[in-house]
Amino acid sequence: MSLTTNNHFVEVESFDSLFKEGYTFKVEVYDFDSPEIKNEIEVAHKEQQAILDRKVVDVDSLNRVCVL
Amino acid sequence: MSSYTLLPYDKDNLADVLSGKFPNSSGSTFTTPEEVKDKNHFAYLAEYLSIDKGLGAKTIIAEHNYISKDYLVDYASYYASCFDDYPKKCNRIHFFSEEFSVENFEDIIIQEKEKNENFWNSYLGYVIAKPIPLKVIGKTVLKTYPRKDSDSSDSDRIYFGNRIYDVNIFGNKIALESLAFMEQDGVVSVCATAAIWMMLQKASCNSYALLKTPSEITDEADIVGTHGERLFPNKGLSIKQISKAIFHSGLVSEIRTEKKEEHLNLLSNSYLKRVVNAYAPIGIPLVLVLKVPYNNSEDNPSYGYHAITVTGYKTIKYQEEKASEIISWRSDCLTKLFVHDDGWGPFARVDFGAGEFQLINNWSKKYATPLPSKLTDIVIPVYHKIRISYDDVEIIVKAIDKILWRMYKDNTSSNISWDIKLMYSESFKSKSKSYEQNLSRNIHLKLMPKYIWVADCYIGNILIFQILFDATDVAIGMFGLSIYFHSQEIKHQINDVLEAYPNFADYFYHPSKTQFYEFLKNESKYVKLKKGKSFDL
Repeated sequence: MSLTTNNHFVEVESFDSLFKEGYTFKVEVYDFDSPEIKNEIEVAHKEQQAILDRKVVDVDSLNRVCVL
Repeated sequence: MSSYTLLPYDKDNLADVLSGKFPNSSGSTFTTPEEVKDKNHFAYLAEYLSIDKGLGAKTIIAEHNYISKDYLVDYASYYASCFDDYPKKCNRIHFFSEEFSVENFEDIIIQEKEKNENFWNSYLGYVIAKPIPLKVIGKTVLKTYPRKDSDSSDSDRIYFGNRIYDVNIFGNKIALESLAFMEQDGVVSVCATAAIWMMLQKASCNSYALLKTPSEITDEADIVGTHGERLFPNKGLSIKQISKAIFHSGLVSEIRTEKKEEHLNLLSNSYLKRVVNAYAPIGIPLVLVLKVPYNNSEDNPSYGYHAITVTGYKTIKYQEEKASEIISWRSDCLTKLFVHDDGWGPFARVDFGAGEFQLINNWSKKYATPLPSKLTDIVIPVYHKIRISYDDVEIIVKAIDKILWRMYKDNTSSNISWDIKLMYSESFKSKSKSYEQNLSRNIHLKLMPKYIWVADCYIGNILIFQILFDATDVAIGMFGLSIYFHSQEIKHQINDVLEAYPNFADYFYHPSKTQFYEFLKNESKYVKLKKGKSFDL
């Protein structure tokens, strides 16, 4: 089966190899009040905020003139 | 008098025909061949057309008294009212990779085109030489570089800005795939005008965008220059004026700018690759503003702002990596950009430098030790109904990537990577024909807007799922459309986790975070049956 989407080089034959050998997925117990997950969410928010910042047009750029 | 002149291709003849100094020319007396040879464009075109490095030109046909619409409008708006006698007709210089004589040529042009396929296949395109001082390179339509035997099979060149031009050569219509190039004339047009004109060459293939001439583009950019000075002769356009000119051609602009504060400067090479990769499927070239070195002083180079048009890119096969917490973009496989740089020529290469904010282009290479150029602004011309930008989608993808990392940590066989693209929904449906039958049927029967964002999620090189977003929606709302899973195993695992923990909504830094969480949960929903069986909804 070919799953050539918008990437020219992707050829998929099987899904057997998605995980490391011996790994079995199970729903873990997540404590959303734990420092680890709180920190993870904070980092996620910072990264997403940086993307929002990118959308803000810098006023100094309005004075840039393409002269060459 | 003959209507054309045939010359063997060499550098001297190239300089002669571009300057208009050749037998029976109708052209310029305003530029000498020596002046042409001093131009960056001459060095660039001579290499682009050369046998060893380029298209392999062997013969030149210089067509006299050619009427170029773009030049004619510029002529009427400026040159006609000059005291000096600027001609209103140009020379159109055709290039062929075959050697032939005048007799051969005149025999061939009166025969049916199909009888001489090899000859017409040797046609490489044309350059219109304008009869004005120094800025002689008018509309130029040249083939792209052919794929070489030495090119790796794991690399590909994507010229998303190309279109088909019908070129009429003495009554023979030749279809040529390219994107027209033009040099600024420094009077009615500057680099930004040329960059917009080149972008519009492709954008105007859509009914909503209008192709304008260089003088029309400059005229519509503003009523006065950037600092209140007269608009013509033009001294340069600002980002706002570029955006205005684009608006008057039927498009709107997404603008991304360099930030004054260094730590906020997010226009990295990786981001540039993501943006080019994302907007390429719609086929409208992007306009970049670079800070480029432009005098030849090695010790004390000057830098200036320069607008160019991105028309394509080179990409290599994605290399799987170890699972990592840091998000991975498949667009990082772009190894170079192809740009129309009006200071040099068509399909000029831009390499990504060693630093994340360094670009190496022809301006850089004029120095013994190449001086990098720097990206300062990205102007993305789009149809006005495409309201959701790449960045709006990236925010959601980043949140989902974090959720996947929380679920799997480093237990995936290789890293999770993402590919975000703006697509026509019919193109997406068409590509889905190669998918599993039920999945393809679901995709084909789904009601979709014309423009969609598609975020492909991979483990290694295996496509796991595709998230579709409505590109016409509201950015602060939930603009997810549907998710198509190629791995049912992953689908069920995502649903199991989300059903158990509604707190995963907190990973989204978005006003509609709960709706995005619900979207992800509902799209992965399946029905569990007894004995471990399930079916998907």
